[in-house]
Amino acid sequence: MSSETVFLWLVLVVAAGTYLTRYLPFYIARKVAVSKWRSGRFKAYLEHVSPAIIAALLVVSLDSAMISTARSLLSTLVGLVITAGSWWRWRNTGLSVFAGIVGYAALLLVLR
Amino acid sequence: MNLQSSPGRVFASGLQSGLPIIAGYYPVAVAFGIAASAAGLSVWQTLLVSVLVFAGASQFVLISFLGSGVSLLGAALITLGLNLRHLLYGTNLSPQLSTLSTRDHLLVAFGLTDEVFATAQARLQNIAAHRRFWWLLGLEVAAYTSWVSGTWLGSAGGNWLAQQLGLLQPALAFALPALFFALLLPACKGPTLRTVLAALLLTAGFQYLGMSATGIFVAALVAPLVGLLWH
Repeated sequence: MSSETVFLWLVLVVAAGTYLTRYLPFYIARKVAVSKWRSGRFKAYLEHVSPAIIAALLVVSLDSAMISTARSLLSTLVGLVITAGSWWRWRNTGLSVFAGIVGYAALLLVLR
Repeated sequence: MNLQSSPGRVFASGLQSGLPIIAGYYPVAVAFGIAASAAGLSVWQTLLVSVLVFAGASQFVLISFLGSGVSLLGAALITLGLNLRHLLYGTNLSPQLSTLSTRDHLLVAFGLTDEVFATAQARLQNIAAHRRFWWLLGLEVAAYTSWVSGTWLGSAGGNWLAQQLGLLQPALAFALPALFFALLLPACKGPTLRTVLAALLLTAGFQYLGMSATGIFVAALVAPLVGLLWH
């Protein structure tokens, strides 16, 4: 096999693997009655899974460059505080994210 | 989103909800395009990866496979291990998307990235059940379009583009933490606050050990137990 053919197979395998992890839960859920998902302790557990995943994604998304120096750490903290303040003021996710980015960038510029 | 909203309006609302994701995806997609070019991939090969895979972490890992002699089975296992957390995304969203047909599930599953899941989880409950497909499709189209076009920009523009972005690149990179933080804030009360704190600590610990993907999976499974049992 040429290197281009191997590359194409690699892409297809990775694409199929990624897609399967996203689709299989829907397929399984169709086989299991929805009422079972919504009942008792499992329902309570599922309600906590989403915030847990988003919290984990928050940690992972904080690139090491954002917390590696005092300047970047301060900018990150201020950006998050502005994001939180904006969210509590307007309850608008898009606006809060935009305000957070502006605050973060502004502080990076000021502290340069 | 009220019951009278047309599919077109709901789709547009989904696109609009994707704006923070677009801001966060562009710098990462551009970086992927640049990295792929540096690894020797042509523009069309790089685009093919983003078009078919649409998963940041998997794509960067794929680039690292090039020339490493890794087997197809090895590639499949590594990718599956990296994406195990996606099993929880579909599991968690399934009750809210139970009215969708098999065809609709097949379609929306493709675009279920970390950021799409986080946004959908927070917003779907405010959308009428029979319109959720269109809203989610709009959100995914916004994310997918920005990812693929950003990849093309990075691949075709190369390092020149990275230099031109200057301060904008780190500023836009902050979009994803800001998005996750904003989506997390409504959950920061009562028992879920304990879950959130446990997840933050667990993930930080695993990240310190260089096992971020495992950390997400462990935090998703263990932190809810802490939140529910720790009174």
